[in-house]
Amino acid sequence: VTTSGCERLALADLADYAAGELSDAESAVIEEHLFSCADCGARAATFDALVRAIPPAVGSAEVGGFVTDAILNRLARDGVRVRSFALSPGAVVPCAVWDDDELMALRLRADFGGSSEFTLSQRVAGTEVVRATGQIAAGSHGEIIYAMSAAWVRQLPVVDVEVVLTAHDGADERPIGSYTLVHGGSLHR
Amino acid sequence: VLLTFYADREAPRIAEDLGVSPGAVRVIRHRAMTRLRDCVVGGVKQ
Repeated sequence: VTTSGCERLALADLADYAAGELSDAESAVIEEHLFSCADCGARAATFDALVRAIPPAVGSAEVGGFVTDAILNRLARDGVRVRSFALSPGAVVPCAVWDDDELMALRLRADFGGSSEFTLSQRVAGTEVVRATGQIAAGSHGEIIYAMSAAWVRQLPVVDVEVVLTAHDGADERPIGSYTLVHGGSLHR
Repeated sequence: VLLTFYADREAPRIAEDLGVSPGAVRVIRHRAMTRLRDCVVGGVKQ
């Protein structure tokens, strides 16, 4: 097999193809090229492995991030035990994580303005431990849902976990809300 | 990325849920997959 450095199929094409959102004709063009091009075939194989790794990674409840109700519904169907907290800005709430919880869903409520890009900073005892940025719509419920691994929370000592949300409006950053989970250790049934 | 490759939603439905255009869904997905690929596989530009 010779490699020619062919880059005809970009990641964008492979993503749309893997998502099943191309027309039959567009898919046929991609498939035909993949049969005859080792470079693009290798790139497609890497991409396919990435895509196939997503469901088990999410279903493991070991990774967190911005989610939607559709994703939480799918997690519930996959048997992941999710504990939800609805938090208003400035809220200081006891973080009751049970020993069989797998994922914590923080429903962060606030006045989001018209923003669609947000950064969430998660701080433990004043030190930032997680920073996530994403383009998300607050949706019709006026909330942003952030999921975090319950196992990660359980291993924390008795400590306050502060969640700070900021919005990006162009180059400007605007504070949206700060939410505090008072972690008192894991609860047992 | 999660809505597409985990929740199996199509771009028009995701667009409706998130209040953006289907084109924007694809752009956001491309960016996210590029970042994921660079993070997991290493930053080989294409």
